[in-house]
Amino acid sequence: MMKWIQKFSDDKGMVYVEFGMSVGLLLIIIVGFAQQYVRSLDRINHYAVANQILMGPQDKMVSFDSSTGVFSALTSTSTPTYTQVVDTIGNFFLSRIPNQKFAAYIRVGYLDIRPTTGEPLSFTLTSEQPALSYIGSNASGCDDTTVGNQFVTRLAQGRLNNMMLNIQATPPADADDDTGRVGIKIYDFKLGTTRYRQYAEVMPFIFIYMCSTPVNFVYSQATDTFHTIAPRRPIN
Amino acid sequence: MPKKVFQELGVSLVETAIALPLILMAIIVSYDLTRIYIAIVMAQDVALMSAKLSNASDPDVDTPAVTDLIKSISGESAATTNGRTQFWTDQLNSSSTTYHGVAYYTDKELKTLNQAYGYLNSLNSDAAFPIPAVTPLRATNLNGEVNCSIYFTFADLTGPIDTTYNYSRIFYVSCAVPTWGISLLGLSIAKSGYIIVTRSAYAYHSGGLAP
Repeated sequence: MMKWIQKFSDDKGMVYVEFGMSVGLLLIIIVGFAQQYVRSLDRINHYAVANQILMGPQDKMVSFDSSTGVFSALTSTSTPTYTQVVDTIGNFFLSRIPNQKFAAYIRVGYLDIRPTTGEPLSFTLTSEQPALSYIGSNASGCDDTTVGNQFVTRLAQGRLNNMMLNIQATPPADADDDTGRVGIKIYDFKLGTTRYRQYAEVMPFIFIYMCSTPVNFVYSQATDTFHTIAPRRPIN
Repeated sequence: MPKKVFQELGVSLVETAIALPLILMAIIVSYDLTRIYIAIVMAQDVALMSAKLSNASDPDVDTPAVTDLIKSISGESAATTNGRTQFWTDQLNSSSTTYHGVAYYTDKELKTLNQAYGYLNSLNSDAAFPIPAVTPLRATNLNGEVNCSIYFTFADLTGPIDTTYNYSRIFYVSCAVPTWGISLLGLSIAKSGYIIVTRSAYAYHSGGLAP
């Protein structure tokens, strides 16, 4: 034993130790690189699917009561129902993911608009517009619906609130000023000196939290992305 | 020289003999992985762009013949060039395994493919297209360059063609990426000296099929 210690206590032993450390470090770098490589490919897939959702099938996202002429947020009793509309997106998501390790949590929220001016008043995100989950059959680590629903709800609340405050910060200066007016315009004309505008009472946005199964080469690390989409087809 | 110095020299030589091949292999594998990564990003980007272009109502571009959509590599064999033409023949041939679903392309589809291949060429001017339809495809057919094919199938074409229907298409971009380090490792995915990466994008209701 003493001989062995003596043998490796000299410079030769030190070189062995240095070599071992160098190879170990190199291996850690390679494995770390592999982990980020795979996660990066997952992120590309997330954004590719989000892009396709943007262009893909969508139902109308606003309900219209022809007797009162009022546009409103989708609910469980509207036509189409909130669930039908989100299912169209969610099922398309499931058909476009490259494999089953992906999951999406989707929620639709609305900016409430003053119909005569187009200015945002508040936002609607109630229990009538719940988060719905679309989970691939092999998406372990992304299948906790409580967490997923919370994530997408926070995303929706934060984005809607930010949009509302940001737009409210610069209100229109006069009747002809377009600053601070958002929403879906129904009509806009001038009769004499008076300008008449009408906007839909709500403006929908789709919020998606995407997750893919954690990669675990060095340590467990899921890939999460958050998407806000202005629907292509808000009104029929 | 003292014995101790010889011993240390020997240890260093052994370490170098072990470490150098490892480092060289890591470098060439990294080179391959980087090339594959770039091909994946490019393929996905081109697939999405193709779908977007396909959704455009009136692409403002010349209508090409499919045989115009070929870019060979300087000095490639006649068999390889013929294989590129064969790719398009197969796309339109119902008895081929790569038949795209209809025996013709509409003007809009040709314009979309024209723009899509142009976009691919702007991203990588060295890329050749399409991937030669030769069996088996060998690394020599690729001439050391990335070869890519852009093509599409129909998502909702069942039964006879309805010329009044607005069909959805799925655009695919396949790129054959020559590999070096990964092939040296003997991995089965690159046994032939290349790896094929394929990405797709969905073009919802992207146009009718009136010839």
